[in-house]
Amino acid sequence: MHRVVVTGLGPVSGIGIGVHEFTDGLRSGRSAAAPITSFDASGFPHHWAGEVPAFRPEALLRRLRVADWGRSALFAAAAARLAALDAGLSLPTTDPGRVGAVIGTTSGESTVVEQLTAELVAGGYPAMSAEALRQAPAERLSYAVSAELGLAGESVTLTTACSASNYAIGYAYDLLCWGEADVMVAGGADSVCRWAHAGFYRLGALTERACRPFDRDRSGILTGEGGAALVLETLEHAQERGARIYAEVLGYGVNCDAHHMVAPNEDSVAACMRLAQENAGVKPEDIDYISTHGTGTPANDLCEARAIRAVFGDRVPPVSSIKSMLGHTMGAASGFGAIATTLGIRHGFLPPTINWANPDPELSWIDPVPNTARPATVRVAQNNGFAFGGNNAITIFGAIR
Amino acid sequence: MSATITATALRTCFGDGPATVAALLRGACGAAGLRRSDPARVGVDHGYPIDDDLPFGPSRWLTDCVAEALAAAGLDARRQRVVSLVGTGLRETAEVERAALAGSVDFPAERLHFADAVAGAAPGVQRVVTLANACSAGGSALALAQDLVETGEADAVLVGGTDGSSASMLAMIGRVAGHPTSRVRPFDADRTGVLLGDGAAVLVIEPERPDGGLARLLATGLSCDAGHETAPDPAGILRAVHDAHRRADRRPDQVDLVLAHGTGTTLNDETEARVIAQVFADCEPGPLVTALKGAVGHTSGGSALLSVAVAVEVLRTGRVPPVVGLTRPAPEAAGLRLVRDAAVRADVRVAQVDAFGFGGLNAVTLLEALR
Amino acid sequence: MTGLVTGWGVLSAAGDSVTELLAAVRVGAVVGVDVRDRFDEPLPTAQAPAIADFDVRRLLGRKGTSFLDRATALAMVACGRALADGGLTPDDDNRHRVGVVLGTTTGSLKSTMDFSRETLVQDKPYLVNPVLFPNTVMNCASGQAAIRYGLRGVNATVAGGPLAFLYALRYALNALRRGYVDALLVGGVEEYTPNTAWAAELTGAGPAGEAAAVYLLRRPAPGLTGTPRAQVLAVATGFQPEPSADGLAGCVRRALATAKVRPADVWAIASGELDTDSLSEVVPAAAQRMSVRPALGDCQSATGALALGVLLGHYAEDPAARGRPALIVGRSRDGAVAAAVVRG
Repeated sequence: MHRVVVTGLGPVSGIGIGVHEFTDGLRSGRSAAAPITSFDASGFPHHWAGEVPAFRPEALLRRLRVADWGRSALFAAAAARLAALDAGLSLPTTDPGRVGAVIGTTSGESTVVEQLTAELVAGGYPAMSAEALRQAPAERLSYAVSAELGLAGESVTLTTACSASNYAIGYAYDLLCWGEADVMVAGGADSVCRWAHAGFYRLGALTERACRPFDRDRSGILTGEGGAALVLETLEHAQERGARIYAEVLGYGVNCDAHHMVAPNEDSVAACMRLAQENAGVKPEDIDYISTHGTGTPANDLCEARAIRAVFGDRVPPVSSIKSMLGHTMGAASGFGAIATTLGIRHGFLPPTINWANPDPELSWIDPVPNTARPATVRVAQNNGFAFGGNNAITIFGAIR
Repeated sequence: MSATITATALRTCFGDGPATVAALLRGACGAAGLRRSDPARVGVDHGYPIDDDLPFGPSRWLTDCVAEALAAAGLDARRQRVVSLVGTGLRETAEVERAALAGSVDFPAERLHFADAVAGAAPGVQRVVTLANACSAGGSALALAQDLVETGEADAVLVGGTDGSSASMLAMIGRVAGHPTSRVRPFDADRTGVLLGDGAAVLVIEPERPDGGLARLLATGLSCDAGHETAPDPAGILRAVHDAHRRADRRPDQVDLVLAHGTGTTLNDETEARVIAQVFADCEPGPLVTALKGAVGHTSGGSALLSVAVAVEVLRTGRVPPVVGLTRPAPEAAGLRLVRDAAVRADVRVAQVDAFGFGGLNAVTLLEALR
Repeated sequence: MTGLVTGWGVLSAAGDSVTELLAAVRVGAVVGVDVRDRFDEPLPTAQAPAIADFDVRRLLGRKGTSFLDRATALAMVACGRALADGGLTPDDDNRHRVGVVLGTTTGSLKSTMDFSRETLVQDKPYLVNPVLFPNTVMNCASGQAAIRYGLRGVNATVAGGPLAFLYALRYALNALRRGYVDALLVGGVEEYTPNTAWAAELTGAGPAGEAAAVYLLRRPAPGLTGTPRAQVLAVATGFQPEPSADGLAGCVRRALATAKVRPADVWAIASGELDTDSLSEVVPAAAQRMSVRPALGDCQSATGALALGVLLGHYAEDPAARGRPALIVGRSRDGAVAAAVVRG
């Protein structure tokens, strides 16, 4: 069994593109929330989101032709390119078959599907453009990464909704552990779209302007978007090429609520935490920080906080939700969580939960690192991801020993 | 045994080598607003950027050039003794700045230089040495490369130069010039200073070989002013020019073209114009003079090799690009045969390339057509 | 890493069994079903290889089924049949060790586009039906199947279009090998809708098909009772868009090497579409080539699952084939390749 380490980070987010800007965004508690520009949101009662207006794929990609790919694939590929650069990987590698990509997503090429819908509304089914139909399949997210970086190894897209990046990191970790690959690019991507905005609004889960997880007056999510990628590799491979090591992937756990498509389940979430900790060989008291799923809906945060209490008892470590800064970036969310966790371990700080004003008496055991990043020694950290369909996935990272 | 340039590759604000040469010949100016730094804070709002948002620009542009030049020269670094010399002014300090501004000191020191950038595109390369010799670094590297080839120490040398703009360098320009310019105007009476350009250049230097190559590398003369940190010294520059002519065994009247350093600053252009006038005083009509920085900006460590690569094209095609940004020559340059407004055709057999850097580092290279 | 196929649930235009599936593939002509009355919207063809007589309420009951989209309902039925066929009854002792891994292309394109369409055609863009929102996420089918059968183990959805089932199979083998679960329902599902029918027509991939094929895959363990229908020995995948790359042939070689199977011993290759001499540089020309697509149309992420069904049908009817290895292979338009080695 190989040990697996993180050697490169590639965030393409509303609070920063590239690892340095993103780190600065986390430390300073920057917010990506702004009026929506990617579609006409004027008919919606709420029209803010965490978009990435500064995203210029043509300025980040080196091999892909932008016109050939949908927005989510471009997010994934750009994030992967940045992560590969940050890792100092020489590409293409001498053995491209030993390098692969696993990308998670919720809605795949949602903006492409919305284009098809608009064509359908305007001219019926035969008016759908063949090129958009070719760009729509979700597997194109990981193919974009492989094509951009010239990787010939496994290239898979996991569509397990809002915990998908953690699924991707977990699967990549397994392949590396087992010696089936030397390097894997893992993460997730999603794009802001009308239908998700409408769906969350109608579920009563969309807030107006500020996402405030764990606050007494939290009122929901902001939809968000972006691409998050991590370069994972075996410890031997990283040491052999003299790579800078951010942190070690200690393990992960996935399970399924098998209860309700939308509502989270406290027992199942707690079981997933225990599973992840067991697989990673750590105990609750080893964990110095939790990057929460923390969507900012009343239901999620209550369920998650209770599950944390059930697992950690009286020793609940500080927790925070970077969704307060980024919005809910869907399939990329736990990928950004993994990047933030990794940076916290490497640089010794806890990302804040911004927009936080009032403690929730029902969550008295929660220290959400309110509003300001905090210096801290983080040896082991847990990164939560939950999803529609009851797909829970939790990754655990540790300082390299 | 003499040395030959067998391949060149470029990246500038205009794109790759062919795109750059085409832009130069049509007199284009690549100046644009800067997006990567805050103009209000550094005091400069224009430059000649390569429009991409990826980090490690100088490394990436260099990697691309190395791959392209190797392929063009038909070199395999795994089967031949190939070494690489990379000249640069700023190395990857822009990345260090980004890390520092994000509150991090997390920067692997070995990524400041370009060993991985070259080795990634040239597997098998024996050694990669980065020379941080300011704006004449490419010329210094070229001189060493010629020595390595002529003494048989290497079968081929990949000579590179690469630089991007860092915030600290921009801030320095912003401080030096009272009113930062929006374009570079070499040898113009109304010139308003220098701007940085992004760019990289790679040349392949090999012993002269039967199938020719692109141009003969005659010699590079080096000198150090040992006077002032930033101000040019005509005596120091003259020594480099004479050294180059002596090593190349060419007289001033044999030189058909000078590709000047021409930064568009008051001091450089005045000093350089006087030296050129003095060196070629007895020549009739004297060499054509042109300069590239009005089109592509000052590409720092990449600038000397960029000029050499363009000189190679001039020797091959006889088409000399104009000094972009020049409308009214400065008095001290009035006697020079400056190429103005549009490209000209000329029978250029020997070309001289000037490169001067902070620290009083001067490198002057002479090239000859292979015809 | 290997897994035992101990149960199946296969629904296709050819019928509800692998025997009928095999028979249709042997004939090799499109199994046409009259689809004219299925939708209000026009369809590109009057007949299509779609599943006939699928009655959700009869198969799954009335409770909680009225808002299910067709892909989800098909997957739920196929999962139930695979569990029953494999003799696995989920209970509180085992349910956290049993999971679901399904392949997909875009989830239910119809559900997503219908939902998205409401934001364009309603008086207010937010007047969508929130009950239908979960149908727009691509893990809807696997999530609903887990809820219906109470399966709390690894639950994943893997996108891959024509390769999705092979990716899902590899993902499942990994989860078994790592000891995360003891059994997984692995399959692929695609619905026939105006959206898929026109998409196939407009991209030249037509005709669109419809199928759901799910298998119960168990970790080889001493206590396991009953004869498995087949064993999955290895799955290899890769991304090789360059025409010069060794592509599918190299992928097949890697899969065979991992499975420790000699290429000369391969008895059959099943896939979406194969020429008679496909992979002849690796696998004997005498090996049978069986293509799903000529009979069942473009079933996208169900394609590989149907190919496994064809092989299982063969193993079931022909005792001489038992114990001999076969391949399932696929290649996507984007240049991805995958191959699985199974033995009946």
